[in-house]
Amino acid sequence: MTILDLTISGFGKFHNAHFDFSDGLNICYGKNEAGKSTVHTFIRSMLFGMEKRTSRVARDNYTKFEPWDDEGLYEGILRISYKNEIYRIERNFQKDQKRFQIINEKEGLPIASPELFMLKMLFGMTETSYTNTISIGQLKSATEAGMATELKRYINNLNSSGDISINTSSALEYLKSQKLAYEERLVPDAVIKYSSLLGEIKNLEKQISAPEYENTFPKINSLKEQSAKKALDNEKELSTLNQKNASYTNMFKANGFNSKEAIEDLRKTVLKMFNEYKLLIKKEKSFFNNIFRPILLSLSILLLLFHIFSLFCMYPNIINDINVFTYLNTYYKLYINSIFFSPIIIIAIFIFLFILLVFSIMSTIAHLDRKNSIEDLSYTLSEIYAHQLGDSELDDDTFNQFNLHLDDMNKMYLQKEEIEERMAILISEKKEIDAKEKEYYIALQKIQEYQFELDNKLKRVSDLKDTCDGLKKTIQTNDEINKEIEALNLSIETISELSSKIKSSFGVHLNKEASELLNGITNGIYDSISIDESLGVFLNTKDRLVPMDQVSSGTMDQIYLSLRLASANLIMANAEDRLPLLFDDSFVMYDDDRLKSVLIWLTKNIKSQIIIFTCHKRELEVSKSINIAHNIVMI
Amino acid sequence: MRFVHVSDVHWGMLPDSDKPWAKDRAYDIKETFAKVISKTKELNADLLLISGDLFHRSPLIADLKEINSLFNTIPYTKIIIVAGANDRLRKNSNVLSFNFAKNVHYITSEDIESIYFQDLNVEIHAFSYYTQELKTRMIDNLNIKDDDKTHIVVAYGGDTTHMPIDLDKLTNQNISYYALGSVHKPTELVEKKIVYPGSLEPLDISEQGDRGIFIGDINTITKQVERVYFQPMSKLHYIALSVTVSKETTNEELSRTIVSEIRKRGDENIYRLRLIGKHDPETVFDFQNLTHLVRIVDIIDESEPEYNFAELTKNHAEDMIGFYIQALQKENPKEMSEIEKKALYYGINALLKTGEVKL
Repeated sequence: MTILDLTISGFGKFHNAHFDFSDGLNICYGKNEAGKSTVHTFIRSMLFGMEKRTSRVARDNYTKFEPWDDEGLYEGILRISYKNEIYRIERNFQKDQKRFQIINEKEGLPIASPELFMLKMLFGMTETSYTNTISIGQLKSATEAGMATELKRYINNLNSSGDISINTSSALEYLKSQKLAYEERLVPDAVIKYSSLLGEIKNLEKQISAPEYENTFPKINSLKEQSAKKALDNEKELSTLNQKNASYTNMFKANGFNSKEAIEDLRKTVLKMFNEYKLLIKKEKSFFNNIFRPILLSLSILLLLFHIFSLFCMYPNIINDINVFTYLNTYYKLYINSIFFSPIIIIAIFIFLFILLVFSIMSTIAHLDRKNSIEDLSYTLSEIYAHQLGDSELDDDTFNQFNLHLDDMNKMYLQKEEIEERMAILISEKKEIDAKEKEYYIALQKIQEYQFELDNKLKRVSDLKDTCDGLKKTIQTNDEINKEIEALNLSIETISELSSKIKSSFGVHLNKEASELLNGITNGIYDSISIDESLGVFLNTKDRLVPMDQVSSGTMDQIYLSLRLASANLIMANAEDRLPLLFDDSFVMYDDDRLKSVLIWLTKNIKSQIIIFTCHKRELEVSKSINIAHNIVMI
Repeated sequence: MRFVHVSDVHWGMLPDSDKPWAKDRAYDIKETFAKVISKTKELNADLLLISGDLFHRSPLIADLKEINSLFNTIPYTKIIIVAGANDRLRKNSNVLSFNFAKNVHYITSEDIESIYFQDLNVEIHAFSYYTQELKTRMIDNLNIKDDDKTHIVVAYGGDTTHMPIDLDKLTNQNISYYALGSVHKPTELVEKKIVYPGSLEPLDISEQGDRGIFIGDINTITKQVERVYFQPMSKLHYIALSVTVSKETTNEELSRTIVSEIRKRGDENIYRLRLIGKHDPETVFDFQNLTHLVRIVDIIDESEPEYNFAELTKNHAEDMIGFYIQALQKENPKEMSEIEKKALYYGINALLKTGEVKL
């Protein structure tokens, strides 16, 4: 393909500019800021369009070359010759008026699918490839060292990625640093910690389920409550019985009994007394006592007195003195005379009377005694009866009542004894209950202690489980990070693999092609380029290997040129309709000799159109001096 | 007769334990439960039914004391509590020896126990869990006499490993109300008859929606539940938010959008973010600073860098970028594993970033 001419209606600083080109060598000369790069960009934009850019750099280009004035024309025409036909490529770059058509000038008709046409014409080259190959700039660095580095990188990139601007090793470094960043966020011992915590939890839970921690509280508590109820009942009963017992005791005391025997004793006593009483009463009531005795007493006293008086009367002196007895004198004298004949009779009568008297007196005394006794007995019995019965009659009825009463007392004493027995039982039971209660109390205390221990363990387990939950989340995060790391690993692996593949296929061809070109361009000074495993670049001369760092900047430019041309050749192969080569200030670093030699070589070896953009007059001069046919385009 | 039905409180739990609001949420659970007690008092409810998992794990004595002091404030309400699978009883449980307030009936029996309340003419049938799983059909065949008492069942479970149930059998029994527990989403399984109140406070991101208690009235003459309704009580909600990003979205813009969307819906709530859409490949979303402003429990970044792989492949058919895309990309993007997708993005990002390539 050959570029015939450009018509720029509006692009960058150009309005209605027109440039003609010819076959072979074209030198476009323009001072700095004249617009060389604008023309360059124009050609590129005409070939590839200025659309579908997805990076900010592309957007900038659109804005960068958008015409300043408001006339609005942002379009141009590129006329080319391709396969012996002339085509007119027309594009409007304006955002809203985008237009692209290719017109076959002979037929005067636009081509049906211009994109396909372009693709075919450009050997399927993308804009990137174009920039990397036929659009040849220069090494950007100013210093030799810088240039060497740049060139090396360029070679390596080209070798390992097939593209000068793809820096495989940097990409790999970048990926590795991302991987490192992720690895640093991993918490490596999370899983270990988690399993060890799980172990601890399991252990504690085992401890917790130990039988001594069994909470027997409900059982023991109910036993304790039952026991308490029993104790209460026991106490109630005991208290009731105690009261009863006390009242019995009081009653007995009140009745004057302090033992069971006392009752029978009293019964015996009262029986005796009553019998005695009855006897005495009987005796008292007897005829003898009531009537005979007092008569006898009084009689005996009288008779004795009379007798004694009579004795006195024996002494008539006394008698005569007493007048009262004068009446009785006769009779009395008779009496005395009769009895006092014998002193024995007197004494006998006296004794007899005396005895009688004594007898009477004794009877009376007995009577009095009896009376006393009766009184005493009566009193005592009355008292007893009054005390026991409230009734103080001293008759058989009362006596019977009394006996019945004593029988009751006996019964009650028996009951009291029963109560006392029962109380003894209750008291011993209470002792048992108390002992049991103490046991329960201790057991409950123990349960409390165990529960407290258990609670502590439970709290620990709960805290551990909370920590585990947190760790689980960390582990999850770890897993997610590991996924990213896996992806990065896959990426690194893939790029490395591809890189070697590229190196071993594309790289070989490139090197071979580049070496041949370099040989030609340097006039045989350098044979070839070789790259070792550590990506060191060497230039081969006939006798030795020269590391690239040691070559001059001019040589480096030549190497660069070879590589670009090699890349271009690889794309275009041995096609007939090769694309033109565009050189953008490429020979700045070349000295005059090298420039001469490269221009000669180019014109001799490059079959396609060559367009050199330059701001130096040197290319013009050299071309002129060596009589190379060339077309001058002024910008 | 009025009742309040609550379950799955999980008192003592530390929700979202690795997040800064974990302790606040633990406190929220206790506070909301206290509110339930006040509400019970306010409503003059006769019964408070707690159907399992009142506690998150076996309670400590301190927990029992705290809860008991709350129960003491409603002495005229009869409280029935059963243990669920999580706070199940054991032989050594301190619940067995704890001195609860007089109105509290903590069921400690493993088999169905029946308690009759004469003043309400209500009989409760309930049991507590002693094991983590229970495959017995405990309440399907209760054989309840057809008497004048109102019968209520309080039980935890309802799935295959926790007391499986047969709904037909349950509805045909002479039971007025089944107070169930274990399901964290409030559900009226059978209208006015079988109810799961759900968790009291939402406990993790999967529990979105309202949470609270059920309140009901039973006519003890007809033995029918006249009405039962859900009362939301939770302090906050878990909300899932989707945010779409685009090429233009910057990190600050995204952060601002997220914060404003969250503030619109309430910044006391807890959010899960999902990012979808295609973002600028050069933009890296960083959410470090967000965690201090709002409550985000996790961020699922499903957004993808806007790489036009077709164009990239076209433009780099002969070089590393093209080869790389070809090596990893599949015809149908859905067939790519997550790792492959991520590797693709990582690789392209690295190659483009470190190269001087114009896209």
